[in-house]
Amino acid sequence: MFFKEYMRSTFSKLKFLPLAVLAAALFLSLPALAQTDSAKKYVQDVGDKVLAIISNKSQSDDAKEKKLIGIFNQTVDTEWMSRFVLGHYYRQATPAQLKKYKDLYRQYVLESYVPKFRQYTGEKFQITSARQDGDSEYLVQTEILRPNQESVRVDYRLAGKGGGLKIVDIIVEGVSLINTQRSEFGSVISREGFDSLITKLDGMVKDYNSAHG
Amino acid sequence: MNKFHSGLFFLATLIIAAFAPLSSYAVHAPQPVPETDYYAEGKDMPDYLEPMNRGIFEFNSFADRILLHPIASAYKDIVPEQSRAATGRFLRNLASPIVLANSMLQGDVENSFATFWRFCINSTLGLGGLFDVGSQIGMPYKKEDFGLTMGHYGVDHGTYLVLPILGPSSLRDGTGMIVDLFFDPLNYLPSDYDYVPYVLDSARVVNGRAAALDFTDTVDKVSLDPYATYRSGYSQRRYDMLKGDGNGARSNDISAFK
Repeated sequence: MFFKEYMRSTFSKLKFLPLAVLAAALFLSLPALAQTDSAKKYVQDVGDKVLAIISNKSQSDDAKEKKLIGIFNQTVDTEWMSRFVLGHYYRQATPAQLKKYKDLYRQYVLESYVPKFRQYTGEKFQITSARQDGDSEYLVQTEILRPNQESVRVDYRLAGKGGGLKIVDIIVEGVSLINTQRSEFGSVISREGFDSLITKLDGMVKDYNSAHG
Repeated sequence: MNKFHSGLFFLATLIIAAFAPLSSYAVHAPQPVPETDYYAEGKDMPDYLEPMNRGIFEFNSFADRILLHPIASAYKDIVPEQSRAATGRFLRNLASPIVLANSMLQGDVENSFATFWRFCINSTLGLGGLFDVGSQIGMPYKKEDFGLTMGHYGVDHGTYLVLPILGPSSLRDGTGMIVDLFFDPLNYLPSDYDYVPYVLDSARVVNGRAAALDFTDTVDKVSLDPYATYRSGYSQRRYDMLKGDGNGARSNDISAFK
């Protein structure tokens, strides 16, 4: 008699099993979808903000540049990038060298690319797809649309734990910025040593500063 | 728990605590490289002839500085962007046989048909290739050459090679360029028209150089080692063309035509 009772109560609960499995499956898949969506949204928001600043006719180029530098510092994780770019040379550098290198790297990337906003000629961008590549790393693919010309593929690699997504790479038509820099810096280090790398970075930053007052 | 157990427990705690300084080092030591290297496959091709390549690179830079760069800059200043783009499309259309031949050699049925119909439609509706109608109706351009065909069948680059005047290449791709000469119908014209391929190639060089001016000016200004930058860029670009991943992501946005 007890056995019958037991069987009934157990199997009656089992009827919820399919529902529970479905709920679990939904629960597990939704976050992944939501996460690539939030990665797409992040890129869209940053892109819109940047274009709004550049297209603002009432501001001087210098004022625009200041704002863009602000956005750059918030959205680009130069610390992550600087580590990737050094590759295995990272372990060979002293803490003092690393500190100098990281400071210079941030300025170097900023000064190499932010001023290029002056060459903007009204291109638009659109997000084509996004995927999750690792624990908290995403690749968002976009296209830059130019009138009557072929579009340019630009991908953004994002990384960020704890909800703080940041850009860690830009890949144009298959050529990645940090991968290229890794080759470049590696070549300088292997041919001329780490200190030469720092000297060259320092020189680049100084050139920019003296040119811009 | 008796005294013996608590004594053991205390001893265990001491031993674990002894390793604490090491564990705090592990926590504070700088993270070297992220675990996943997304670019492992697209890394630089080997450069067994670096000293020679650097020499040729220096020569190319010099020749570019005194000849090609000024010509391309003037061309860019004088000729409006739309015309330059149309010229590029015209020249690209003329090279369709090479793309077709290599697509067929790779067994790429989709791109073979696409290339054939692109050539027909662009040459007619697209006014001799000046307009790329094909891309707007679902046949995006996918460049193929014999270097990529060899890569498709597993042939590696061999070594990075800087060609005089022509620039970054590889043992494989340089050989591929020579083979592609045989696929170009324009190289089989009667001797009266010998000059045609030369004129077209010169136009390709100038138009291509002008299109790349923004990029090369940036590299020359910003790079710590331009030779290494071009080598890396070339390696990644050829890898991307071989894998063909990105081409599918291109949308067929007709609004871009306006």
